[in-house]
Amino acid sequence: MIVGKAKPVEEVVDMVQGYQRILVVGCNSCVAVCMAGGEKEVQVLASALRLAFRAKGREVQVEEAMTERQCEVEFVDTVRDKVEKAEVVVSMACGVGPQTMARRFPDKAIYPGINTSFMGQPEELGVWSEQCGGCGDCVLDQTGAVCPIARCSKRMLNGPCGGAQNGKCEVGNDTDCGWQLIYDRLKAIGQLYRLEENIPARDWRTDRDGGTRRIVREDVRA
Amino acid sequence: MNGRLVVFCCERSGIPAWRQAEAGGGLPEAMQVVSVPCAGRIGVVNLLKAFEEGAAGVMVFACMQDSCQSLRGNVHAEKRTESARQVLAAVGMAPERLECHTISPPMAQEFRERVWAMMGKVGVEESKG
Repeated sequence: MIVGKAKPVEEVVDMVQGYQRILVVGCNSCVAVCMAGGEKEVQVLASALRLAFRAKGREVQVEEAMTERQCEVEFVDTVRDKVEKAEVVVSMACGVGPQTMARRFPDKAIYPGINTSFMGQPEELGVWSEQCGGCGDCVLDQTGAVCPIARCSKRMLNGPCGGAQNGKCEVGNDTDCGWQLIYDRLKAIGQLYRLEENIPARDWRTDRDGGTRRIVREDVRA
Repeated sequence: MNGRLVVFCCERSGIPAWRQAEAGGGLPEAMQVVSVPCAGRIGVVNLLKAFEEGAAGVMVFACMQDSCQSLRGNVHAEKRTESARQVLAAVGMAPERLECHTISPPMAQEFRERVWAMMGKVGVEESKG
């Protein structure tokens, strides 16, 4: 899932400072699961905004709305009525959500309510970790299903480097060494021989280096 | 601010303590008790809504450590109270206006004392009967 974290309330208050009618819109997909931009988080931010402006002696109108998936215009259309009545929208979806809203409502100010962080998984309740770098050329078949792009701090395709100690990366923060994880996994599935195979230098144009990415599939295109 | 104290009480601990305190008399009139099946059920938004609706102060009474029937409801209550306190601070309100305490059914006197202490802290004036 896409994992995000709510922006500090003060930052959002600053964004919407000059407005009178504010709409906070959440998303019921990834950011609801990671408890950053679901219904509860929308209610909390909306309540915080009302209290913040009241503390400044201003009564503003703060409405709340939810979309099933804010990354698709069809779902964004379900909140059209509320968007049209608002002067500004605070989107609590991942970074795709505000952009979909902006595309659908070109004359409306749309601001982000969360910081989109990474593609990851929940490790335990309240802990999420990055798992996929979205590089566009997956090598998980060669690395025991542990992503070297997302889970090695240096994105090394042939690791480990010399910076790991006791299975931990030199960047600290108790970060696991991605290549230790790859070694452990390859050992568990009897594929340690893969460590002797060199993964050649790759074409990074499938990653961000090739500019904004787009997929066109003629087989499913209208 | 309407000068009210909103007191969320777990029905297994806070509510019996409140009932005993009420039977003994001497509780403030400007106090609204909200019964919840478990203090862990109280969300950050419930606490903020109480302030939105004009509460001068908000309190949560949860079960004592290791006494929660839902196992960790009291822990969740404390964490959510802390989250709500951080929101209050971020929006320019005094976080001290929100408190979370643990209590057990026979602790009526402590309930009474904590409520009056909060009344004083948030500046709600009422004479003790």
